[in-house]
Amino acid sequence: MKSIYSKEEVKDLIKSNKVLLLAGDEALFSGLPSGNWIGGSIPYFMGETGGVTTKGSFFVTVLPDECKVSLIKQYAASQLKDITADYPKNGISFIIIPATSDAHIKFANEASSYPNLFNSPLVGWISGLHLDDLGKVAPRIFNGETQGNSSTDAIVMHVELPDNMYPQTDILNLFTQGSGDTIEFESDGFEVTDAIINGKKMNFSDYLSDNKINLELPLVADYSGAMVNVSFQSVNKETKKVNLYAPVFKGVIYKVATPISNYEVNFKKEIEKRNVTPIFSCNCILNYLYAGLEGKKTGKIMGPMTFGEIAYMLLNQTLVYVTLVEK
Amino acid sequence: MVPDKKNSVWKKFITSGKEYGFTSLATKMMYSRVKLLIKMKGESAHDEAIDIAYNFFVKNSKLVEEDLNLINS
Repeated sequence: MKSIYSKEEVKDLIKSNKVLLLAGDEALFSGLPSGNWIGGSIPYFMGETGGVTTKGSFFVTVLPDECKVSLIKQYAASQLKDITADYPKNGISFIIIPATSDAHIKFANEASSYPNLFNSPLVGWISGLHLDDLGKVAPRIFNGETQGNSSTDAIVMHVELPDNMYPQTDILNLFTQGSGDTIEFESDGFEVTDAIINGKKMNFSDYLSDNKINLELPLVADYSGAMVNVSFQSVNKETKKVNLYAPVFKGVIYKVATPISNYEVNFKKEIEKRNVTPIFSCNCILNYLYAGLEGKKTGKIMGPMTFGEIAYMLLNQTLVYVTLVEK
Repeated sequence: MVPDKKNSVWKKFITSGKEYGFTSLATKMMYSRVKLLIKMKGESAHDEAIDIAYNFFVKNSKLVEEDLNLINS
């Protein structure tokens, strides 16, 4: 199925009133007509020919005709808790948040406490940029209804489904908890100084270096059977602080992940076992980079490779997908 | 069918710590949220935790029927 589109093709899709989720380099979005779409900046995709990095094309998710837009709305960081009040009666809410924005941080830290968060699917991703552009441009979201964009707000497209159709959100995370130490934290956050390792408090940076932990392997928490990753961003040996791509939470038990021998092969096996045809999916830029997915395929699953994935809450190094079920 | 909010099944659900083997991602995440709430706040969070679980199952009763059967059994 076609997923990579030129700007002219995207304009035609918008004019034909299709409901679209767009991913592409920031500069590509200028001059798109208004319509039923939202977008986010990112130039890394898993397309029909495999992993690709391009600033010249969009990755387009064309939602099925059964998806009717009920609301397209930008939410400032302080308004994020109101997203769930706008949930459709029966449908899905697609969210994109610019990386490193206050909205990104606030959502990651607080989403699980939003009222009724789990009552309807909230899925999406964190927009980013080409890694060569770090520090030069800001990740952005784009509002197809107003033709505005923002490096601070989240954008959400709430869509309704017919009464006989239900959305099902799932994740595919190849990482599992390793058999090593139990790791806990005394407070929530993206930045960590100390950790409780097997019940004993110590500097987390020292623990990681003393134990030669591979920082390409995330911390994994077991959410009642769903494996939830927190990926390492950096370790500052001078300040003895560890920065993460998602927050850790007090009270949650983490372990360093078991290594994956061949991401491409194992991913293909797992997705074939599930036999799903998602209407939306996204995967992580870290999987793209660490597993060397450029030019390689992840089965028939396609989507933007993002700076964070959202399935109700912020995830790392995880594929998120949505399927529709008729009942 | 979703049990009445006053049914003892809800208190058991939020406090047992049991691993039910849920199939739905939403149920797994909701249950983890509830367990963490109870772990961090104890008895003072019982009503809030029951609200979260009850409202979730009412809203998604058709989609997570199998998971609902697990807490009812």
